Amino acid sequence: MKIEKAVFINKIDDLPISLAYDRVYYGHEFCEYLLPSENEFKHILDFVIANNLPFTFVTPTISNDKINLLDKLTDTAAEKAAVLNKFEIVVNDFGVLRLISQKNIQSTVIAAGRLMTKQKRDPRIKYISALSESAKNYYMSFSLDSEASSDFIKDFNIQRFELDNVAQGIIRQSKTPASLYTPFCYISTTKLCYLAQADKKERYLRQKCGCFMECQNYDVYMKNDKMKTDLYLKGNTIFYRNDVLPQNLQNTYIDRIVITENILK
Amino acid sequence: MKILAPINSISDVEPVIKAGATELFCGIIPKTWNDKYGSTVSPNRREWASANITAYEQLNDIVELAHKLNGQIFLTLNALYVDEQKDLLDDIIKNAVKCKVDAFIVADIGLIYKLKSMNLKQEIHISTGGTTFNSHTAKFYENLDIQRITFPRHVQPEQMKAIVSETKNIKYEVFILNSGCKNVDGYCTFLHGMKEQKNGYIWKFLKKANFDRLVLRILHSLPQDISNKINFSCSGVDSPCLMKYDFNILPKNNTIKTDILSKNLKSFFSLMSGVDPCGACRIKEFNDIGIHSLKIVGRNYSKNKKVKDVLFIGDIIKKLGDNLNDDDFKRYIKKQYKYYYGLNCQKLCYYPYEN
Repeated sequence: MKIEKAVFINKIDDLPISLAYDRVYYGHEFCEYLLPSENEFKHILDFVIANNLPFTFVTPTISNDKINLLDKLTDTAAEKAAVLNKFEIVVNDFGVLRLISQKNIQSTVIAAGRLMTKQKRDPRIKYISALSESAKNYYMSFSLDSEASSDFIKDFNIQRFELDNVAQGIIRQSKTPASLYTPFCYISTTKLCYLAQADKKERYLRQKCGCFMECQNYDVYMKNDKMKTDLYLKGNTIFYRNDVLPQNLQNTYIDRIVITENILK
Repeated sequence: MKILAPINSISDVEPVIKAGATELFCGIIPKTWNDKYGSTVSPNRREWASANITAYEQLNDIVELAHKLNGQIFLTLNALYVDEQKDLLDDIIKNAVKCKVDAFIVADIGLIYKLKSMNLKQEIHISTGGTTFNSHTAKFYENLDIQRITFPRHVQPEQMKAIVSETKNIKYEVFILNSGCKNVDGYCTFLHGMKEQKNGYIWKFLKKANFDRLVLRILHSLPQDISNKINFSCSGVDSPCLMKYDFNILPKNNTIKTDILSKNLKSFFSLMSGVDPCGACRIKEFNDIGIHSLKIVGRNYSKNKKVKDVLFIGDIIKKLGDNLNDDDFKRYIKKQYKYYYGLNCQKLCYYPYEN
């Protein structure tokens, strides 16, 4: 089985990088404030159409404040769905899933994003000696892959799972095709952005602060030996790095690698 | 508005209901589950043994007593489950139905489908783990005939208003006191409770003896600029959201100063950053929005603390009837806070006002 190699970008300037890959992922999973404008999105669609590049639009967890913009972006993509090559939408929010399902966009694959597949991603899992075999297996599995979730998967025509390359490894329960994101695994995310205005004034974390795209100005590395590995804070989300790919990609129905190096730049 | 209060034993039921709560919630880690998975893989999102009951007989007694006192019991089953857990999960559901719990609090979409297909008398309530951040998500759950949604901690009252107004058949509850997770519960994949798994009885004893409450009490009594700096690195805290980190901040532009950012990041991961916020000042707005229940969390807290929390929130709900202006209402809340907790308002707000 051929493993497709995709690249995940979230800046328009990074578009040329995608030409070296089999597919481009564009968008944001964790922050609605980083959604592109309609014009930027049109530019991206024009680029992938001109280059006949298979395209995946990644949508975020979202509030009512920004869902109208996302609605417009998906309408824009729907208008061009017929000429987009192997178009996919990654969904990370049940509301967005409902919205997109209602649009019934032709020839479009819906994939459950990393916020929906909900693997356990704490980097310490691999090192806990006190875990039973059943507990270890649990941490290598994920609930959306279970038999109990299969009716939901069918009802919403979800055809792909987006997974992180978690250090503890992956055990599959279904045969739904999956993409594997590497090297950065997300661990946790917040709507109380760690960086929003945190470089300007002393602030209380729960204080709602307007976004000035501070995440674009800083890379933050977090170290505590108990976590076994360095953590990376990008805006509102914490990641860790794992470059070691599993040996058994085919056994885990993973047919695509998604390079996430660029989303933390 | 009702008060939804936490319990972890039958001895909590009567005092908490007498204090004013009409809805109670609890979790269970049955022995069969614990033997196979340990508490770290909890069937609900509380991994500590001290937060859970352990036997169906206890659950049955809790439900019987609560019903006798006109209270309701909701069982938290808000973890995410895999195929291998099917039999154990079925066993919990079967026994909970037999015990006549009033609702299941859930987050796993597979479990929601399963419960729906069983046509049970029990209501299905969506946990904070159900991540209802927009009206479409609320409608998604409404289409599944869900009876209640708990708003995630990060949804602001003004955002709740729009969501509530767009759904007709769902009741909503909001967090009002304690356990202010900084990360989105439904998207957080950090592990908790590992110390208990590793150090067993010592940690269980400390939890049961309310060690963490004692530490928090001391922290609360310190000035905030000092308490904000305190992390626990070498102690029992193994929650990654409260650990002490060394931050290495690399600005994209060398002219940017990082002093304030560094200070803020340290305080965001301090012990005070996630513990025991209060949303009492927003109760008037929650009432106007049409919120059904105010949820107090902290299943493992002491009975005394649980009762105080219910009394405090109950006093404020009663005061709504006096139609005080906003300033007088907030003054009253601060007075009651001091009365019950012996401390001035900590300004650790669940839903702070924008400044």
